[in-house]
Amino acid sequence: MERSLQLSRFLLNRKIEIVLPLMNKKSQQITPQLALQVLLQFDKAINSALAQRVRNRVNFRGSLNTYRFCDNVWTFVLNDVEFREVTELIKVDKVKIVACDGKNTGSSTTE
Amino acid sequence: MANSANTNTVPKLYRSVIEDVINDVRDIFLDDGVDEQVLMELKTLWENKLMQSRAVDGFHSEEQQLLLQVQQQHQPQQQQHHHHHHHQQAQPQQTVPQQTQTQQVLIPASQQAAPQVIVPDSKLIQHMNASNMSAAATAATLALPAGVTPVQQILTNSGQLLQVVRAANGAQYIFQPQQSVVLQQQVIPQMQPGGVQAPVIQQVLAPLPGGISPQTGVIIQPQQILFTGNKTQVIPTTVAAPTPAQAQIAATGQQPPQAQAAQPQAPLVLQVDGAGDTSSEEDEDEEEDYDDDEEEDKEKDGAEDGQVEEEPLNSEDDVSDEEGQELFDTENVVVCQYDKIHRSKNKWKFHLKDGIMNLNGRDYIFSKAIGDAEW
Repeated sequence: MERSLQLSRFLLNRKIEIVLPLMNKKSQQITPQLALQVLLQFDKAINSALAQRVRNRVNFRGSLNTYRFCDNVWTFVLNDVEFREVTELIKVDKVKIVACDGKNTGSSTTE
Repeated sequence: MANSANTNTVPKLYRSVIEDVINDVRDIFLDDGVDEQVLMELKTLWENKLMQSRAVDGFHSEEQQLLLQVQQQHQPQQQQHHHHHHHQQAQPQQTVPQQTQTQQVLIPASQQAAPQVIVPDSKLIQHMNASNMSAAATAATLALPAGVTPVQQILTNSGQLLQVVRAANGAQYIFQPQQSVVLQQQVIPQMQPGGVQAPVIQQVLAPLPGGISPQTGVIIQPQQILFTGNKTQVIPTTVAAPTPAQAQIAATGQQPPQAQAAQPQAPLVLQVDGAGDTSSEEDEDEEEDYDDDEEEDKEKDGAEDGQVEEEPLNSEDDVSDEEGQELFDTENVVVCQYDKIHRSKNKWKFHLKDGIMNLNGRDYIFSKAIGDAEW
């Protein structure tokens, strides 16, 4: 779970874009620390949501272009991939997969 | 529908995440002494960003859902009105239901004498390709009578001259005029076939003379606005995205209407000189007597000759893929956790879980993903 907190940082680009403007406004409505708190809360919320509320499965197939394993993080780049869900098929020319360790033994550096 | 499963789960999930986060941080906000309204603004911005990015189908806001229901009732009536009021409709019939999809978040004004203005968001073209938004917008377009009352004020229930308008596709107008600013907005959904995605941001402001100060934060999301042409005080201004740097509109009064963002078109200049282009220099001296056109042609030929000789030498160096392939921003990403990664010779198997994918601009979520690939 801790490791997945790091993972969710990738997703925060959306949140950060939102929180920062509020900070930068003239009135300084949100302090940086408050923004950080919000982002941390987002971390927790998105991870618990992912773990609890999502229950679907996806299959994919493609060709592996590159692979990297560093600091217990796998990074793949696949080409000509088809993602298949029950309902739909998604094709992409290139996809980057970043995967953190899903086991609880993964250590976290956020704390 | 084929996409129903994903389009149903993802928006719901995101919405619930947003709700959870907002509720959880409300206490933190209050502890820090930050007003609840800032929290609401955060939520609004968040939802609009999500909608704007079109990563998710569907709406993000209870208010919009309510509006949807309301507008669906008005839709058949509005269709006719739209025919009359709006001039530039490419497809009046097919897209009328979608045309009136502009949504508004009307915060009921309480202190207002002048007629309220419902500002519809002009429907984004992208909308037509997006989900089924049948909401019609536009009580606002109806409420913008042509030539009836040039003065329209917008008030929120909090007393501020603030109006947040959110279109289903992320078009957003936030008007924060300082005082009795009269905003005359003519937003007419412009129908264009085929998913035109040009973010033409236009805003028509007709401020009272001396009424507006340039610092009014009018934030407008990319929209397309047409002018009815009836208003004599129509003053278009172009506004960029709601980033703080661009949050101000130069609401001057006398600018000529700029219907489109006029783009000066620089003449296309061919660059014919390059690294391995020694031969062209010699050609230049000889060609000074020639006309310009011929000069360009000859230079080009000289350049190409020079490069052709060198290209076979250089092209052999580049065997591997570009490094930039991995660094490219908008590529499709999957962010997840791995359960097991397995390899046999060059056959890889991936067992992944709890992931979020962004493929072709859209967001998908999975609790488990299994994949195969050959290296």
